[in-house]
Amino acid sequence: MSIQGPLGAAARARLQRALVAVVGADGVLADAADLRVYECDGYTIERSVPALVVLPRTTDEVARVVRLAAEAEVAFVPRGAGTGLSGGCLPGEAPLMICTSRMRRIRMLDVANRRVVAEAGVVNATVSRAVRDAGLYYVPDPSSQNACTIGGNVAENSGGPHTLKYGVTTNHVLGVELVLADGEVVELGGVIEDTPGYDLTGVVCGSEGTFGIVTAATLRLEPLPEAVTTLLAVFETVAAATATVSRIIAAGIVPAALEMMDRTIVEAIEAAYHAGFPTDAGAVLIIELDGPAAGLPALAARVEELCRVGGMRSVRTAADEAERAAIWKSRKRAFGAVGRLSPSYCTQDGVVPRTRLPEILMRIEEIGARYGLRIGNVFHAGDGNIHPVILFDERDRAETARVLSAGREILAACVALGGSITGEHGIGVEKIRELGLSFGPDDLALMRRLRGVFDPAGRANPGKIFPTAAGCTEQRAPRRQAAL
Amino acid sequence: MSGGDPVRAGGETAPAGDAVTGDVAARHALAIAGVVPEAVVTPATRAALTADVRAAAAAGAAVVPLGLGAHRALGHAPARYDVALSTRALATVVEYAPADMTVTVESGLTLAALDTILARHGQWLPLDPPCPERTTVGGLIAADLAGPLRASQGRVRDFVIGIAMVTADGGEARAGGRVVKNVAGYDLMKLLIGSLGTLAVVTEATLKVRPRPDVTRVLELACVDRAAALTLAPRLAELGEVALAITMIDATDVPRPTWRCLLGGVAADVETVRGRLLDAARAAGAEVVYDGDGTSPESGALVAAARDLPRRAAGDLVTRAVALRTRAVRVAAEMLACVDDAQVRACFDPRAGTVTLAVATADAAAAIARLRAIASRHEATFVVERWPDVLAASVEVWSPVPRSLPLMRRIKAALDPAGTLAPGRFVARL
Amino acid sequence: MSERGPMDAPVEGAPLAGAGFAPEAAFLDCVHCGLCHSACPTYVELGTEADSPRGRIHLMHALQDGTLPLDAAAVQHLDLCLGCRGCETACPSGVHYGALIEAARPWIEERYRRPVTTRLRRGLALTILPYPRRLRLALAPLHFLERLGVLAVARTLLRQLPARWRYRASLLPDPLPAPAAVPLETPARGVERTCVQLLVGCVMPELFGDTVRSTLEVLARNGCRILAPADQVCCGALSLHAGDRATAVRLACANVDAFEPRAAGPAIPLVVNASGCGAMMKEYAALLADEPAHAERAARLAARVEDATELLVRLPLAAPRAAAPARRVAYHDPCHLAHAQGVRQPPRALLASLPGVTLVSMADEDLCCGSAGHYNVMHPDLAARLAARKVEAMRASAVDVIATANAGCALQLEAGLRAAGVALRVRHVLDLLADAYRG
Repeated sequence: MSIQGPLGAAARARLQRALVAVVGADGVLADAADLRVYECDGYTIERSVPALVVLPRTTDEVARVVRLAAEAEVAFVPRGAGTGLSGGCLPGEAPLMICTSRMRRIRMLDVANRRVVAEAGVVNATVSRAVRDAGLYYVPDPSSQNACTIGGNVAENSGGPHTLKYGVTTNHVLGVELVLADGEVVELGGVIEDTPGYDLTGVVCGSEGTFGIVTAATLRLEPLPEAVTTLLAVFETVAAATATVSRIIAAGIVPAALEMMDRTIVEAIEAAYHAGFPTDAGAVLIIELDGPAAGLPALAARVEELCRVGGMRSVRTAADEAERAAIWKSRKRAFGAVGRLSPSYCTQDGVVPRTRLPEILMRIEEIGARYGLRIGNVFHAGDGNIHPVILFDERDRAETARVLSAGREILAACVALGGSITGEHGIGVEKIRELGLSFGPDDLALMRRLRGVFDPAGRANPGKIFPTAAGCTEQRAPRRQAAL
Repeated sequence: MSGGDPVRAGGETAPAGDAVTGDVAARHALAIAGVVPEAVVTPATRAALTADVRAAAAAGAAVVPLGLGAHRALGHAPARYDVALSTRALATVVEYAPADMTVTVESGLTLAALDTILARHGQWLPLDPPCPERTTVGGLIAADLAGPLRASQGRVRDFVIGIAMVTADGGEARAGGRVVKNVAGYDLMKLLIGSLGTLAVVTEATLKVRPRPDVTRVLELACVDRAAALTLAPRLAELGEVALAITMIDATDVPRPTWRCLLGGVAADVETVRGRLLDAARAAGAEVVYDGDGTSPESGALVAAARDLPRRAAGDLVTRAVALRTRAVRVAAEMLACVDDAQVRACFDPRAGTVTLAVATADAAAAIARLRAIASRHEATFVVERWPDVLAASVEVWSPVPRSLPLMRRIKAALDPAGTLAPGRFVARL
Repeated sequence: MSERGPMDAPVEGAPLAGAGFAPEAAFLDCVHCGLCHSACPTYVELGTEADSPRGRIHLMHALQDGTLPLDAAAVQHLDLCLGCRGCETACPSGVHYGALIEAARPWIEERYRRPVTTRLRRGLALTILPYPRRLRLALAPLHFLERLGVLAVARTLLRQLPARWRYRASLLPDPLPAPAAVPLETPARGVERTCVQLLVGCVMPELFGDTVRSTLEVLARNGCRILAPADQVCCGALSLHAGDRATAVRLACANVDAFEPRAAGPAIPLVVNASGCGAMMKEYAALLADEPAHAERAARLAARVEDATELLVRLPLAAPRAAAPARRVAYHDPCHLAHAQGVRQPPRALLASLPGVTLVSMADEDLCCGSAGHYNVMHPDLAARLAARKVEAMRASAVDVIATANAGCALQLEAGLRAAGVALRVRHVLDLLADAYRG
């Protein structure tokens, strides 16, 4: 067994014994096979194997584990389900991985006040399932919602297709229980929205595990919409579809979701799922409207009219919940389908102001042409959150190098258009070098100063977001990556 | 410009375009809890503001950032108050792309001015604190202000997507960006919202905006008495997203308690919800005393009155409690009963769980203690938004004290080690 | 892990890498998204990545690459896979996980020597279960005891056993039905509409005689003449899942011969009433692709295979005899029916058509119960935990009857219910249908 990271064999054995005393023998993983599988999350380009993995079941166990790590001066990396897409739970400099997958209790469910307290390892979709009979749901629905955990959602401030109208994770998290890097358990926020003091819950959302480990979160639930209409609008060109996106928004309509897929993606989806998408179309928009039942038909008619004015070829309205589910299933599993078109692919995550979508798509096309790469597009059009999917063959080293360069150029183009280098995947290790495109040294210095308050010794998930001197990960060729 | 002759405070050289005044009236106009600043500085540019903060930090002076000072009563009295730094001259709209539903503005722009600009494109920032014509975007953020729209539209934290600031040492920094979805770097917007200027001076903000509703309608229901009005609360709380604002108003000088409801959305939905509202009123024996199109001047006046009521009240004690939905009605009932002997104006939002009281009482300290006890019993948060100056040294503005106070202290110490910005103003007099 | 013994060791001198068991591209299909996690019973129960489909693919890839030693830890994680293939349903990338793990198992058997107790247990199971005559001999004393009424007493004594053995013992059907004798030909009742072949199977008639009788009755009442070819053998699934591919191929070839239609004519359905067998036989074409004498015929046979519920929903269903009391029924998806064969609606449609039945949904209804062939014999600890999870869901669904379409699942679920002291019957869909006809 090779030990990764700055942890000697004797220290590792000592730490292992101490951890077993806290969580029991079945809560500490130390065999090569057990550890190997934790070498990467959904971002597979960089890998490093943790020296130990610990699976606590309670907040108290997490706190005791973190204290042991502090005493041993060992850095740790939190991990939920490992569905992240920027390497946020790559061990790297942290030999100890603390995995929340066994913290799966829903501690409190208050239907009348629309609140739920879920432990970090609770799967996102589980929350909505638990409250559906009460007519409620937890709004953020990242594509990985059947696997990803609440703790990971908070760490990454996860998005999803329904953020256009309802916002992202941070807009639905009222409080968190956080174990700081010294083992202290702090409760931030709570069931009431206006807890006095700084909004530390808001700061912890999206901090990618660098402030400590979120062990539980208080979430706001929303009533299920009275009615939902899902339209599938087909356009001849991507330009016509994106112009329509702007037209809908300009008309004062905020759909619950507004998604776009270009021909490459539609072809892949149709080959995989046969959901009835037209494969000869230039682009398809999924437009979902929700709200009170009375006004919805008129609203849908207006949207259809706007699409028609924008050159829509045809439109289909989901007849029932089953058809709606089929459309979303195809959309949310689009990336998997792309694997059928190409041996390898690489997904980017960038944002532009939604009015600049036509420009960024032209830039992507131009970049693809210049590098000789085929690029598909499937994205949250309403948010301007793009996910270009670059198709390639990882066995071709020269092509692989071109993929990395093209990806960086696309992100730079997003920033140049007033956008961001990541809308929902996070910086992790993937975009450490690109963070400088968005922020200057002073901005980053301030953020680091804040980090120092939560984690003065830099033991909570080091090597993420901000570059550090050390680094012991193995960089691989970009591979397929599950995303979108 | 706050009037008077511009003079240089303490011999500091401020950049050209700055307005600095030591004028007594101007200084007293921005007094906080009886503490009067030595100077009022109104920088004309962001560079000037940065230089002012840097100069103050170098001189060891304490700076309280303000807009127009309309909401400066919130928060403890400053421990030191050398400079009132007003952002009122920084009122440029930096970028407004209606189709992106985002607007980037300097922090001194008032909400009223912003609304005029957004209205031209059929949009709004659906945050409605009292006195929008005297409330700046910076003040909105620093004091985390809210109004009757809050339950249906969200809070300040749901709208600020990017921020530029001047740090306590006079540095400049940004966080977030101009796009609605962005997870690059820490969310420092959240840190500054509601921080009362204790961590940094907000100079620019990018806000999400929304389309104005197609149709709006205002209804007012008068109930026979307070008990009848409160009985209606649970039904009104279930009206959904079309009910933009639902506020119960109860005041000593109003004959009957009333529910003032603002509906908005597409026409069919507004009509449906209006029907439900009228049914609820009929069932409860409430009288519909107003039912008009939301764009009419009378409707506008009613909405504005509900919004401004706590600030326009004569009394100098204003409190706000926020309770869980299931306890909100009881909190409202108990709080109203507890101050029945005084002149009171009260607003109650059953969905947000907010109970706001403006009380004219001789013994404010006793009233605060009684109200706080009710809040505490119902696990509600409680803020004394305004109090008589005599209580400055003793009043505890916020309760309960957050459990993460030590962490908050460390944050203040890390971001403002010299205590330059609004010292003593925040929770636990941070 | 709990069941790893100290005697585990790689076979001396066995190559770690060498010939791979799957093409590299089969591993690259996995994009490492993790969406399979929530569909994997062992991950849901253990929360360990190496016990998730993604983790196992990761392990298999590393083992084939030779970058990870084939040791007890690695083997344990692959052994713990139930083979339920719930992950294939969840996978957006179309990874053929079932094919990967089935290819890995014989590869491991060639290279890794298990502790002696494990080998004995597996050996015993694989020597007896697939062979009806041996199984009949093994069970004969039990059937005898059941007839004497002594088995009930024995069962109470079994409760004194250590947990692991108590659980294994509890898997015996209670009461143990009389074995079924399947005639070579069963005529249709009333008008004959169609002729079908039936896989009798190895375990079914010995342990689940009632369900076999129900199958014959329901098919016959719906106008089927049922042929049960004499030379048929076990489908081979148990051997294949245990890594004994050679035996599986031998058995499959024998079945291809046995079910070969005597005369030319339209293809007749080959009906299976055990989902593991159905899944296996539908994949005979791939299994026998390298058998020149059988490959083509295997493909033809595979195309004829249908689960009994698939066949029945295609027929104009004979009306049940009488109205029945109102019952709330939840349906548990057998993995090899839902995930491996994609058959989800037919059993539900049959249930919903029964008089008095209200079909209600249940949490995790397509999550494996832990039965999985002889899994519950090999890994009783985890199988019991999985059963306990299902029991919680069944209890929460507040139904009168749990239905499923596979006898093995019914056994496992009943064992779980008994262990938890929940008085709830688990019935095979075909048994419920037969009851309805009997009135």
